[in-house]
Amino acid sequence: MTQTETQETPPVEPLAAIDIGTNSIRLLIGQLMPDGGIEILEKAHRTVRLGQDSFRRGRLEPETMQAAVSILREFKRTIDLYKVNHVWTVATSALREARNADVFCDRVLSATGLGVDIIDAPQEGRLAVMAVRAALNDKPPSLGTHTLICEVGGGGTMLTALDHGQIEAAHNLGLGSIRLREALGAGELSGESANELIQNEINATMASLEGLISLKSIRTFFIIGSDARFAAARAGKKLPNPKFSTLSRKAFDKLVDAIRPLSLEQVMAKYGVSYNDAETLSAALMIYQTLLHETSAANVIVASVTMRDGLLLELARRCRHQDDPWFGREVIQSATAIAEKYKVNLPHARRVAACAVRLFDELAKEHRLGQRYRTLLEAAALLHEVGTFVASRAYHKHSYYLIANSEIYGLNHHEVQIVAAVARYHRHSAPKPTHLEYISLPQESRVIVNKLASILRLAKALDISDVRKAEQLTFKLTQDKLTVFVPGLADISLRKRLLESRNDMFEHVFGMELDFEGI
Amino acid sequence: MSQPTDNLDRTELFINRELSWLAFNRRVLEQGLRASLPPLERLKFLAIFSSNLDEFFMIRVAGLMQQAAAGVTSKDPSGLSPKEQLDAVAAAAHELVRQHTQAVNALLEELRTHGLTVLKRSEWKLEQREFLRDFFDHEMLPILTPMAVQELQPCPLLPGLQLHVAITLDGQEAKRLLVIPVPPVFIRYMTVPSREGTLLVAVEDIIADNAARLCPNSIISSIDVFRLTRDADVSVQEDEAGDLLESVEQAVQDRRRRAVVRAEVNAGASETLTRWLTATYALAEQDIYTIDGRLNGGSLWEIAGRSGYDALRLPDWPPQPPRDLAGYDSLWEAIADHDVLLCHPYESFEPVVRLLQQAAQDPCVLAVKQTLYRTSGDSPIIDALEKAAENGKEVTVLVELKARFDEARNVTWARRLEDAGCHVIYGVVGLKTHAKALLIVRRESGRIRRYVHLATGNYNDKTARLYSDIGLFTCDSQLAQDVATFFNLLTGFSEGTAMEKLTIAPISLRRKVIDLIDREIAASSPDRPGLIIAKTNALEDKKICQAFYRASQAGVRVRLNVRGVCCLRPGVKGVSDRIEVVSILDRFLEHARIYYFSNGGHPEVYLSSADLMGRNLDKRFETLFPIHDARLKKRLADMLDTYFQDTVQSWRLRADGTYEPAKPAGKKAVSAQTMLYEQAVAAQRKTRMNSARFKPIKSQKS
Repeated sequence: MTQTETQETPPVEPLAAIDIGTNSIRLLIGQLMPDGGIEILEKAHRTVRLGQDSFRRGRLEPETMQAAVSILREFKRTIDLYKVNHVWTVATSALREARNADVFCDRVLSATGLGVDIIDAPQEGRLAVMAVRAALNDKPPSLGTHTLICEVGGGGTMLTALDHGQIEAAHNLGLGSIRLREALGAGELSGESANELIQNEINATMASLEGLISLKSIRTFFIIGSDARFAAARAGKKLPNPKFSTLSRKAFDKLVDAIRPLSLEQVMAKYGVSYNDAETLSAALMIYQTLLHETSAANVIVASVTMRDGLLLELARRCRHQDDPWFGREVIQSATAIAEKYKVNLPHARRVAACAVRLFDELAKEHRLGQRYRTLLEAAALLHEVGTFVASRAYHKHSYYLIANSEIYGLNHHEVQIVAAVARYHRHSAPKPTHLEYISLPQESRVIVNKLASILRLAKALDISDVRKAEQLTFKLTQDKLTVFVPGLADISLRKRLLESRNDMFEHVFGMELDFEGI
Repeated sequence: MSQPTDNLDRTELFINRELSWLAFNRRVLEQGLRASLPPLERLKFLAIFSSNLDEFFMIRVAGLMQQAAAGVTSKDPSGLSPKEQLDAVAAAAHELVRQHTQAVNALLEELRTHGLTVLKRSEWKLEQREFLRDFFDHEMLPILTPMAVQELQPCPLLPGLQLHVAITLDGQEAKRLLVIPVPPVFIRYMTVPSREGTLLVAVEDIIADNAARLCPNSIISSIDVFRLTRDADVSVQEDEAGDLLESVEQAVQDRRRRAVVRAEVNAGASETLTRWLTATYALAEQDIYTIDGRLNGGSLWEIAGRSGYDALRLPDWPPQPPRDLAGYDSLWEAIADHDVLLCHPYESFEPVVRLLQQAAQDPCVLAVKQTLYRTSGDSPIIDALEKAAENGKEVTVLVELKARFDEARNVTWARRLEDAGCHVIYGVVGLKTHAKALLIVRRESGRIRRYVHLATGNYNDKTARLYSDIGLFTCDSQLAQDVATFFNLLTGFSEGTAMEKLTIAPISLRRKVIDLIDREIAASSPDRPGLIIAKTNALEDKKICQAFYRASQAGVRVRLNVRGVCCLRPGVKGVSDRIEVVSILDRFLEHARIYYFSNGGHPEVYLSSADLMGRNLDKRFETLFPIHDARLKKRLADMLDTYFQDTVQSWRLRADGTYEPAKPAGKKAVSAQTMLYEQAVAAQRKTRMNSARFKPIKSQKS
């Protein structure tokens, strides 16, 4: 739904984001101002060692869950005080790896009414990038060429590579500051030995980045997170943009070398930090240091933003029914990369996609789906023939499998399933109750798949030989009939195909007649 | 980082804290001798001198004695061991007490000429004696508990700070002692009927007069009065003498709990009494103070505060409406428009109370959070908080119960708040909440706006008329967020402490102050020397003193306005040449803390709830906050300058630790507080003149 053009100022909206992390639960409450800015009202965090449970035993212990639930209750009380309607509660690696995550989420829901969204690492990365972008606000330092944004969390390290401000690749390195300590039993060792072990593990894991992200080409290196902020506070130089500081390689090395030989207690005493902060500090800084040295960046830029800022920005967007201008581009970029991987006829796929989105736009009032679904449709169109990589017979079923198991940057798991389903239904059978992949979707999503798949079928049927001709398509839409004016309708085979498509899904789904006329 | 060139740890660079405090109390005494002050004002200072000294003995001297008893020999920054400090303190205190007694006697004589007389027992007329006998029989006798202390084993616990009448009786072998505690339920100076003027009688005299009836069949050899001062309660000790007690083992502390640290007796007291006191309470000779006059000068407040006799007081200075609120009907509007500075007691404290009262009734207010330390029991603030909770707002109150000796009173009103539905936090373990902060969350036309009040003084409408303090009202979003974080920290809601504008002790206040001093050093050059002006009530923290020394060495001019204890030694060649220290004692107790840094031409001004004392910065929640409004910065900078222009009520600290009174020296005698009050009055006059014009209400359309 696009924003209606009115002269009224949009109302101020209170927003809240809760991040259930590996070591703590963090709350951020802000209010979305008419000018689009977000004023922060409350910030809070409490320690709860969910990561320790997950990384050690693969499940959350009752006491930990109890503690977390009671903290969430308190947070919810404050959220209610501010009368917040838009709340987003996310959980990251600690819950991703807990076998009983569902139990925990249920308990949270019944105790507080909060629905927990367990997001994946790429999404975390995306939110972080969103926050950095917003903080930069088009001012330097810029997200220029060959930029890497990195956050060392408790459970993993999120790396996002950008070029010209756009996300190119994302990877979650299995190196987390808490995870490392747990895995290596570092708690029982002295500072020096523990850190040595950790460094070895880091070096070994670096190899997994081969071919995924080229660190050598990185020239601008952003880091975020509390450990990054610590480094900025101790040894950083503030930049004109107040949310950013920079440290030279030398300064960073000096800091890490100073911390390396220290035990946790010594770190606490020397730097005046709490036990929680000290715990993650040396491992996180060593990971940042190792990465920094792999890149060609002369210094590291610390951004004082968090994923939670990204959560609020995303919430703000939803409130204002706005779309992330970067979102579409990133998804399409990712989808294109996958299409290339599976050797799809890209020009053809792009033509179909162009036609599909034109149809989507034209039928906006009919399907009433938001811009996000336009992107899903476009992705599905780009990917609908990946299945031919496996076999040409029933390739649409192979397409389903390949897409459903791919990572399309910017889409969550559920959305990927929708794209896969839309691609599957671009030919042959319409959705049937016996199709597991269809029936396992919630009803709302099935309706969406129906609509998008119908459009995709029609777009494919139109199969214009020239992309420019897609733009030449015109439409006439009445209450019960869509007339498509197609250039080159004289072509017999084209006409035949089009006539067949008339009895297809489209008429059933949209409840309107389909007709074609030549231009 | 300290300069490697000079050793700033040398003992000669520091003044002993206790001696500095006694020098402060000497200045209080001097106020009591100032002929230019009306008699009852002088009497007030003499009363304050005594109660100050009582606390000093109960807390500081007691702490030193604990150290000495524990065999602690480590020296303070000025190089004195506990024993050496006790000796020096005793020497100074005895001299001060002697002068004080003389001053009180002289002043009481003077008051007679004004019709206010404290009768000596020898002056009682028959009708007065009869009246008092009657009173004694009906009111006093039933509740007196005379004790033959030598015969009672163990010796009964005689309460500290209370007067005791001691009757020495002739006995067969030795003299006997009968001790009668004077019940605190009676006021010290009772009025007796008189035909003209006021006649007062001391309560101990009434007992003395009727002594014979308490011990018939005995020969009274002497009737005396004494007063014991005991080691204060543990919780108070923890906060105020914690620095001394750190090195004293718990066992020693327990044994010495409530030990007597001082005994005061009247001059000419019987030897039996003094010997008994010495033996029973293990007192050294220097611990016994002989008073050639009346004991317990603190009770002179009763006389100083008597209604009537306004001619013997200074004219009242009614607090003026704050200039920053001029022209505004609504406090909310004023604060949203611009930061508001309140300079008490020149300007009224009433707006703070009014805002709270309005918040309590305002349906748009969602939450109120406040710290309460040493508030008055019948405070309108407590009423407002109660009402707010009853009206469904989320009210969080941080109550500091360990506020000296008001504990019992504090508990009752804290309970009241809880009963009304307030979320009451009774302090934080191990830390005393000294910060003064208020946060109001209000929903206005759909958006949330937060109103913050931060101050140097307590939320006490009574002391706000007696102390000079400063408060800031602001809607600044970042400051509001920091204050919200601060409250979340105190209530345990959050562990996060990242703040941008607000600095908190015990986390980073000391570091911030030292960083600011270091920054001033870095920004200072021969062409443009740095300037630091700091106004505080006490400067004792060694690291901060050393930072000031470094600043002076680097060419920064340091102007310090320290009312009380100052352990920094100004005027030491090569160390503190550029440091001057003044102390202002005037009708209002100087209480505000203001810090100014010229910062290379971009001056910064901070207000704080904290004095620069080591333990305060480590064991108390305190705030340090910046003033951003340029207009307010200028006002505060001017205020700081005004204090240094005082030529009447100010004292200058010499390098030897003594204070030199300011001399008008040809210039007109100028008192800073008078200037500040006159400014407040002038501002109010100007406002009234300006508001003679009508202000049209225009449409909101821009």
